[in-house]
Amino acid sequence: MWEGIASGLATVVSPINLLMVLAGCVAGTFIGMLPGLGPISAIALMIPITYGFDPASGMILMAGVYYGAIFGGSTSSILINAPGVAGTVATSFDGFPMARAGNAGKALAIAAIASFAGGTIASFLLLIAAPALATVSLSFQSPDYLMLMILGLSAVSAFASRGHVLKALISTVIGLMLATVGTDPSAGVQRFTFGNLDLVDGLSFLLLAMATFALSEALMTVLRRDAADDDVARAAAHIGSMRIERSEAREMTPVIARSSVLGFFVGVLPGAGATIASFLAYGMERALAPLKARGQFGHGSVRGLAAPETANNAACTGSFVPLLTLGIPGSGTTAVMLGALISYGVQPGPQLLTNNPDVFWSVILSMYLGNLILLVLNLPLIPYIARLLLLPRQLLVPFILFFSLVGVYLVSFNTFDIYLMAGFSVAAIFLRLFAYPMAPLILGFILGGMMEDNLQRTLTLYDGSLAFLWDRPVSLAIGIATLAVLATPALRALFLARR
Amino acid sequence: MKPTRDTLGALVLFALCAAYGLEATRIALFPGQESEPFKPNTLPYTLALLGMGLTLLQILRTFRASGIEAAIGWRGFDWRRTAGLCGCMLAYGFLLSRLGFVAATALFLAGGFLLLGERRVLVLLLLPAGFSFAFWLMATGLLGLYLPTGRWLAAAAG
Repeated sequence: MWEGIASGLATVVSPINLLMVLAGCVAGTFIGMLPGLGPISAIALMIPITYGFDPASGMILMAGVYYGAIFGGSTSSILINAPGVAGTVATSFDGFPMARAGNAGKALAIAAIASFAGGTIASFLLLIAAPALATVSLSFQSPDYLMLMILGLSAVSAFASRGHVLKALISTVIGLMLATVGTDPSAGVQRFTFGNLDLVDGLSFLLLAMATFALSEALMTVLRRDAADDDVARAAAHIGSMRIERSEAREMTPVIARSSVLGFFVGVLPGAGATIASFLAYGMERALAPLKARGQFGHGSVRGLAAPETANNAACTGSFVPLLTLGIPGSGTTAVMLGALISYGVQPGPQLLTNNPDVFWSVILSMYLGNLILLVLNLPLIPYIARLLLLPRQLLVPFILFFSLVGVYLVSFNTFDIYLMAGFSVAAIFLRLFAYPMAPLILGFILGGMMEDNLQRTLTLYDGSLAFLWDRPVSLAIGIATLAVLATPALRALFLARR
Repeated sequence: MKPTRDTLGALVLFALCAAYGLEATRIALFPGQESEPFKPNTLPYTLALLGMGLTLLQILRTFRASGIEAAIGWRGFDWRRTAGLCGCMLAYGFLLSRLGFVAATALFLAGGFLLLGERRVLVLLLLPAGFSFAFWLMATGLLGLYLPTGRWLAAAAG
């Protein structure tokens, strides 16, 4: 393990990779700050740029973008009460009132320090948890993997917002259906290509990710007539002092410790992620706070800001555990990262630790470095980055569309992909309008191929019988967990109805 | 018990799942493959059934809770500009190989700016032209990428 860590450290601290982390953090902060664009869009936009890079450098850039985007989302939550991502909604509860009271700089500093601490503690936990889980998962067989993927997909849907669980499940199925387009891997038979040669290789995950996130999110801002430019201008002009008082630091410390552990473990659960972690941490700290401090929640409380910020960053780190050790992403963002890793020729999973230890460890270590860079370099740049948002929307949106289209075109050099992207972005807009979430769709699409592969091996192994569901203890346990996860929303609704 | 917009959305998705299932019946199988435990149409059939079942549940759910509408209200949406931008994307795909990267990109950006309300002539002319030329220079000169020069322009130049 120590050799791997040393090798990962050597990879991360090479000048080119340090530059990658820095560039990723700054680019991610900028993109994440734009209302409507989240980490998935930020990462998807970066993938075409990283195609020529070696896998470690590409993933290091992505990790920087991920953290930068989360931090950028927090910044827009604090400055203009417009969370770029769902994971930073809880940040706005106390961050925005603090900024409105003239303490935007302090709120940003608290968010940055809490994020850094949360990321640091979670990176340490990841350092312990990931190799242990990777060792255990070496004994996993195809049926177990199949059940794990079903658990991951079910969990992402089950943790969707209240009333939308069924819609999230439908989105997942649509994603799985899109994954079956192209040549069947087992028999080489064409499926759903309609005789079109451009579809023989299937749909590219980058195309789908760009269309369903970057393009549709940019188009949604036009459709909804979003206009926050004046607020941004005012907020960007009055950031104020970033100094944190000693008493405030003392108040934050236990909050950060508790929220880091909670955030990490919530992040490890497939489907839970940063949003649930941040709300849980906020709720927990509100419940634990003394009566006087509890009254400050929602009015600029230091605890109320530090808790969700710590937890969402810790959860981001935690979500890398299933990705790196099992090869199964637990969220839309890590699903896009999985797609990127596969496109670099790296297959995440238990073998990653033995086959590509430099990638495994450099990703883990770059997360820590990304947090450090966000704190030391990015925070002082926030007033300047926020000013970039003064670029009018009528100029910004066409540029986002251009970079999304060209990003995909430069990979395939096929104009058919541009038509497909336009079509998928329109479909994604309609799905969004009907409140069908996009993250389960992209997760289903990315896991579709692997799921079919494992289903084929399992059914061949068991001669078409479903006995694998109860024959293997691991599969049985995961199956029971899946049923429990799927039953949770129904039980919750029943409980609320009884009350 | 009135159908809502959500019902319509679920109905469209139900139809799509049914069409997917129908298309799955046309997946060609090799001789003897019918008796194998896993065939190229195994997952598509499963997904079609699952999709139809879930969308049917969603349809029933919208009838049961007739007051629940889609999460986002649709009033006051800017359909005209959004459709215009989608048209710009399609036109960009069409013109890219015909007019070449620089001209098609400049037109796409200028069209997007114009649609979204930009009226300053200098911005509409100089920014798209300057940006697309600079991007082309960077991509072809620095990164060594190929970008289309335009069939129509090549034909016009002889």
